[in-house]
Amino acid sequence: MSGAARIGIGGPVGSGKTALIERMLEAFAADGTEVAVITNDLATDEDAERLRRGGRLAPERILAVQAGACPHTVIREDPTLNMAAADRLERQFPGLELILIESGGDNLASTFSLDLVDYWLFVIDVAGGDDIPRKRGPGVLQCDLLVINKTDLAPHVGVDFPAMLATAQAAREGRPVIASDCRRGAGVAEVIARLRRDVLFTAVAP
Amino acid sequence: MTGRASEPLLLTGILGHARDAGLHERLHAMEHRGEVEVIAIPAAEAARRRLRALTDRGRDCAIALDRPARLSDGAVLHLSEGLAIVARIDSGPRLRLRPASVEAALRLGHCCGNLHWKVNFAGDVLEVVLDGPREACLERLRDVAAYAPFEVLGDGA
Repeated sequence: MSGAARIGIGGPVGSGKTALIERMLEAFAADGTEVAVITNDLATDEDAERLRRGGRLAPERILAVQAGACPHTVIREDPTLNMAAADRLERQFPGLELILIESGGDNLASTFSLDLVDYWLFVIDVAGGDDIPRKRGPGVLQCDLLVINKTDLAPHVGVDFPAMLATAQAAREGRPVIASDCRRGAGVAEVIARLRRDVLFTAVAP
Repeated sequence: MTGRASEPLLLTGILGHARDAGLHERLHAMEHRGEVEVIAIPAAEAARRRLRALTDRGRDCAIALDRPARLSDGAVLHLSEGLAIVARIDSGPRLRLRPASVEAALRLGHCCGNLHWKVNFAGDVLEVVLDGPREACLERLRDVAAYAPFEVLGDGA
């Protein structure tokens, strides 16, 4: 098999990108998948530090890139810094199977360059508003997998979740949408199964 | 390489190009025997190094290329007794625009960049790679034409 798969995770501020990665790292630690993470923040290493504190991955397998400007600039317009960081991780950890590249929180037009990633997820959340899928942003429409997080909050923020899900599925014309509640871990297994099928091409270790 | 019947056929490298002297005749002969399958990939997806795709005969394939490799039209991804798999990159629809002046070209290029459109430069023509209806693209440019005049060309112009 060729080098590590590179998977992007984008979405608005506070939608649950880091929480999803934390849950995924738990699952990958359990099944022995060799993972590393690159986080992108505006001007700090906040997300990288949070993942390091989580202890699911050795700290040296978590790199931080500071965009210094709109986060999409370093995952789409000029992803050189992220490509260099991913290359460095592959050199440092030869058995690496997967590199997760987390974008800083951005707007609904944020997308990943396919020069940087093989596949990318866009994470939105119920509390961000049930109108997000209707707005047909490039992030929602073009991603390989749309994750709608915080399903547990629907009754508290006046969202009809089945209707929101149906709107998202219609907007994506059959491309995958997965509902999640990352705090409780719901939906995470489905996300990982989808990644295994579409980009990792590996079965779960026995 | 083939794995179990339920698993995808794993394609991990570009073995050559369908136009290569050494491959062309062999593929031609295989084609006559119905042994060549094609994976159609839209141009916008061709930068991927990993993707799951079906051939034109419905064979499930998992492409996983090394980072420096790049899919191109005619890339041979599998070659064995009785089966060849070739990538076909669909260049997709484009909107071809010829700016009226250097100033218009600068402004039009700036506008397309702001809209994150994929473009190719072909001499004095700017080709927008369409990811939606042509009319929607022209609608976005309606007001731009007032300060960056351009001519909309036909496909063959």
